[in-house]
Amino acid sequence: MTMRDNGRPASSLEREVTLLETLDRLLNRGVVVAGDVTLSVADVDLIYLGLRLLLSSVETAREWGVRSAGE
Amino acid sequence: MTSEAGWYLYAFLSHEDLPPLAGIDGHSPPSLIAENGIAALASSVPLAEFGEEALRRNLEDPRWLEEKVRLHESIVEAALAKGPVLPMKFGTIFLNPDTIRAVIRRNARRIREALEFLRDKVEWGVKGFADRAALRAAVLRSDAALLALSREASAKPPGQAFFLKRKIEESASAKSLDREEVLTREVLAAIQKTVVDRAALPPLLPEVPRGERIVLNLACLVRREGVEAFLAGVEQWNRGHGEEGVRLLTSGPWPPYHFVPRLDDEG
Repeated sequence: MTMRDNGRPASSLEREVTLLETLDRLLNRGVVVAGDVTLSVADVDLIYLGLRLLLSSVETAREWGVRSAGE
Repeated sequence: MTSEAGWYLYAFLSHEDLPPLAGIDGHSPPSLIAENGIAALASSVPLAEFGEEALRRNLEDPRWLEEKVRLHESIVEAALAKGPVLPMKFGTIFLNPDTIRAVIRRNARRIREALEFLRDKVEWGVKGFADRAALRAAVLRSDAALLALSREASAKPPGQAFFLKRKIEESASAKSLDREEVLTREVLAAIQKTVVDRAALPPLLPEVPRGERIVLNLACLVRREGVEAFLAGVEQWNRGHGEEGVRLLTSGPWPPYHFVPRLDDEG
């Protein structure tokens, strides 16, 4: 799966958007069957909560010019 | 401590090519569980990591989740490269491969029909990003009524001009929103001919930073032989609308997550 924006390289924001797109597909769509272990809607909501917090903290850190360790 | 294992299910296939990748646990190779001419692509996973309680706990770790979601996706994509797939929802795990066989037996006709329909088709994502300031500027530049008003304003004394300018601002905001709607309808019309089916998705993020907003989020089912025409249509649309601050981004090819049948409906 690749992202196209008129041949320009995808920005880091766009890469995050791609991760969200992947999550949206894998967590909300796809074939649902009754496995012995499956994710409930509540589980998925929990994931989104955690992920939004993570993404917003990444975005905040970037706005403040903070670099993550190792950069 | 448990050394028990379960089976993580990735997809149903009508072909028997195994992706040359490690499974979602990082090492167990995927295998095929065949039944009624349909193959289930699955791999062994430790229940210490993927059992009910462990899975719930791991989901709260965004890094674990990102890694596993990417592994799941890359395995399904590798299978998609060899033929049609029905991708499963993330985190579908069975304790016994016989249960997977039973799922296939119960749904064999539907799975087979869907795989046949999806042969040589892939999913593409289309997202529309609007730069609202640019769109507004374009409306102000090109709307005949607004241009007439601003000519009128420049000929008036300051007091009257002030009110006219406020009227122009308000009208420009409303017209920008209208224009946004027209543009999204035009996108649908532009790709219509190259798309087999489409699904509208909820906006990915409520607000994208830097003044951009996602005004369109679509999943499109496209014939492999039509992908080039589909992408050319999107690109042509972008070339025609760059100055209005709206651009389309495509992503794909995806496994057809939005175009799978419901199974087990009839109990």
